[in-house]
Amino acid sequence: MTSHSIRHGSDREVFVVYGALLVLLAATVGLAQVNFGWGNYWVAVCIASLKSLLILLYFMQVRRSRSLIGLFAFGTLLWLGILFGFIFADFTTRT
Amino acid sequence: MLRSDGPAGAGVTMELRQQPFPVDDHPDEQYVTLTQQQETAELGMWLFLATEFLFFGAFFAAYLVYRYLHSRAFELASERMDLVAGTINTGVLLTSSFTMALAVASVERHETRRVGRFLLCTIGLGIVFLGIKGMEYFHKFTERLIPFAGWDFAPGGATRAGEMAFFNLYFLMTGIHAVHMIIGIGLLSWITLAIWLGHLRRRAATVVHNVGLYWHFVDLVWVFLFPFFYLVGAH
Repeated sequence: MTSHSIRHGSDREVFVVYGALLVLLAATVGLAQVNFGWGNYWVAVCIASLKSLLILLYFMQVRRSRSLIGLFAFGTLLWLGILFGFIFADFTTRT
Repeated sequence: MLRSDGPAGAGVTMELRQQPFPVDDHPDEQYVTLTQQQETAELGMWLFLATEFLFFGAFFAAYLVYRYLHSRAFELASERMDLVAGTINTGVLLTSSFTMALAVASVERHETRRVGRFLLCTIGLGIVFLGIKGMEYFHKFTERLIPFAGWDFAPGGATRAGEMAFFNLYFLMTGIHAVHMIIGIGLLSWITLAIWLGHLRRRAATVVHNVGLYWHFVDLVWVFLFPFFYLVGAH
């Protein structure tokens, strides 16, 4: 075996993901022109989450890595969830 | 198979930077396999990135609190943002992640020259981003939208406090993001120089990959910063 890199790079995948990210950028700016009220926030957050999922899985190669990396990458969401959860539980329920 | 010669023949007379990356055959002594060593380095970077997620996460939590409390003010303040500059900047940063991913793919295929070019593109795009950001900051100054103590803050009325909160968060979060960009550009410059000078021969794939992880993370943070500051409410 002559090559010892963890994984082999694929250019085509990089191009496809980049194209998808640009499309999502256009979508998020375009949809922001329409008034959905509070829906605007959720549309923006959903599209941003989709973009970050693409970046995480493909550019940061979480998809091709071992599960422990995935645990670190997405496990952080658990801790963020605790942070956001308790903060919102507090101030949104103050009388 | 270790290639120490290039097309010119005897490796000794060839310039360092034109030699291909040598294949790294042995791990350092505390590792069993090379794959284990590479994965350990990668995991170390991910652990650091996890702390960075929490670091930025706290700022986003603060943002969401103030947005909830001053939703109308945040919409008004967001309309004062330069959407064109923000959109272009997002495109610039996504493209820099694209060139970074191409650099990582190239280094895994041991393509010395292409790696250097892609890294330089990434650095260039990072500098463009910072330039546009600096221009935006300057415009905030001329439009009197800087909410710091002792500064003249233009917006008045009932939403003034909320708009001040928005711009405080804007400068804080994009400022810290810009610091991370500068650090990222520094790291990229270091590895580009190291690869060019032939210093990063054995560990090139791992190092480029890990710096790439940091850079993608900085891009990821901006992916959330952009809608939260530029796309609040409808435009």
